Amino acid sequence: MSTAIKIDDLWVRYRGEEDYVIKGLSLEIEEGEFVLLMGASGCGKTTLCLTIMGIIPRVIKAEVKGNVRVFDLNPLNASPAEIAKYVTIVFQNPEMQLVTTSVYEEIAFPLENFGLPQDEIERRVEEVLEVVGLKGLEDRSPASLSGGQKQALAIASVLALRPKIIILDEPTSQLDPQGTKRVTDLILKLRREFETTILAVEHRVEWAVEHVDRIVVMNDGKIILEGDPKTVFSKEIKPEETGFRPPQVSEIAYNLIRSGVTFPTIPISLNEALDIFRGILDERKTYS
Amino acid sequence: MSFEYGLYVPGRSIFHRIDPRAKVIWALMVLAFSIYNGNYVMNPIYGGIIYASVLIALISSKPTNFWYRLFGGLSATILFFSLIFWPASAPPGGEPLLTIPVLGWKYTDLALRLALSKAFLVLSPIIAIATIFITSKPGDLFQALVRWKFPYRLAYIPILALRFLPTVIVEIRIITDAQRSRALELEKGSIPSRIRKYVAVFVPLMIRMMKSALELGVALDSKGFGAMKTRTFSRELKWRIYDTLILIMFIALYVITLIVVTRFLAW
Repeated sequence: MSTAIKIDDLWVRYRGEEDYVIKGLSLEIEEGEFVLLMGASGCGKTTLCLTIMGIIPRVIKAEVKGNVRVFDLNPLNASPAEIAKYVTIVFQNPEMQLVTTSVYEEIAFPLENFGLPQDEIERRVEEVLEVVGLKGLEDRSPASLSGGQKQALAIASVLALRPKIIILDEPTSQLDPQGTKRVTDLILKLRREFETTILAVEHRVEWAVEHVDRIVVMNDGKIILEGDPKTVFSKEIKPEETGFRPPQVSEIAYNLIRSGVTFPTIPISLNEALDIFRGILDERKTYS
Repeated sequence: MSFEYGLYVPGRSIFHRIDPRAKVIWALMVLAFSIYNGNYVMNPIYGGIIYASVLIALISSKPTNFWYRLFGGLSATILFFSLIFWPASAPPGGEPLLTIPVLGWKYTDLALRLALSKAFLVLSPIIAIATIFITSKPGDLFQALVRWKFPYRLAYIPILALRFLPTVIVEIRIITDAQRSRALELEKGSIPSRIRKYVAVFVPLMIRMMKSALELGVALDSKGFGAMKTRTFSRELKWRIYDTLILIMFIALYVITLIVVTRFLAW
């Protein structure tokens, strides 16, 4: 397995600003890994994503120091077309990412841009429609879709290019629970079926925590915490300090520990928590 | 009116099925014949025939009521103002038809011809061009432009504008509601003060749109827009014999009626 993204001592400062937004950040992501990037608003998560995409400094002017590599490509001086083959980004607002007036055209659009022949485009669009579950809606306009469907379409459209890495910048933050479920199911499917490397920026951890390989927590332009979900949440995390909330079940556990209950491990998902709580209750019964 | 597909109104009419390139040629024809008539021949009957042909094209493509109201209103307004203002520059002579009592303006038949011809000169091309947008998918229009060797990066700009029409309408609605809930009364006051109030809608809209434009640029980038010099199309436009026939029919209509009207009708 090779390294998908390698960032070495990265410093980023927007033009006209005094402070660096990213301050000496180093991160390595393996191919096929699912990494969750978390942190308070304004801690530099989006800046990091845009730098990996090469949009900083090409489109948004900024001073960039340090090394970034995406496979064997340096996004800081590669052309957008080269980068698009490896890595692609989906933003939180699907509205601005849909650029055509029908679902079919939307998915075909990037393929047409790369000059693919007609039959190949048709094949890939069919395939992607199947994967994201938008079959039968080919001729609908993106404006008529629900929020979840729109975000699925935004993902579908970049998926048709078969990128090796997908960056998701808060993909579910503007969606209702149903839409969130649709998008998260899709992300998990991508990971299962295509082994895509996924870097997701999220505030809500509940849906992802069971599935991610690694959680990276940023604060003030630096990584303050990193590891698999179990390790990250094994110590108490205070939202006031880190800017993000651990899963609610973990918060319950922290509170109970403070009042003297002993936990075998800190639960991170609902099912796990149920098992642990059941265990604790049974124990109490046998003592009393 | 949601403008879901930009200006496009889905349908299966004759005009929907014509190649967009044929429609563009037709609209250019309407423009050329209208200019010729409005500036040189000045025959209101011929102008009226072009206007009628364009209206038939519009009505046959069954647009939404919005378009009927828009072009009904537009036609009435332009006819009204033409009839009032053009006679002032009418050539001398001609038979007086009517004299406006107090002002003493004489309304000659030449003045009427001029006013009607100029009104049709403006109206026909506008409706013809609108009919193209109503009956063609933005993607097909884009393809038509690219086939005519327009650089595709430039040709996509108007298509993006059409795509974002529904988005902008939703944004305007949200901002207006938000400002109303902050006690902005858009319906009250004199006209200048109402215009001033709309600044409160316009400025946030611009700021939002500029922010979104960056996101849109990044999205286009990551979809490889502009990656290659040329691009392909998944659903290619095909010029059929049917398109040629329709064009010939329109040319015949415009040329023959021009000859007939100018030769045999004195007016």
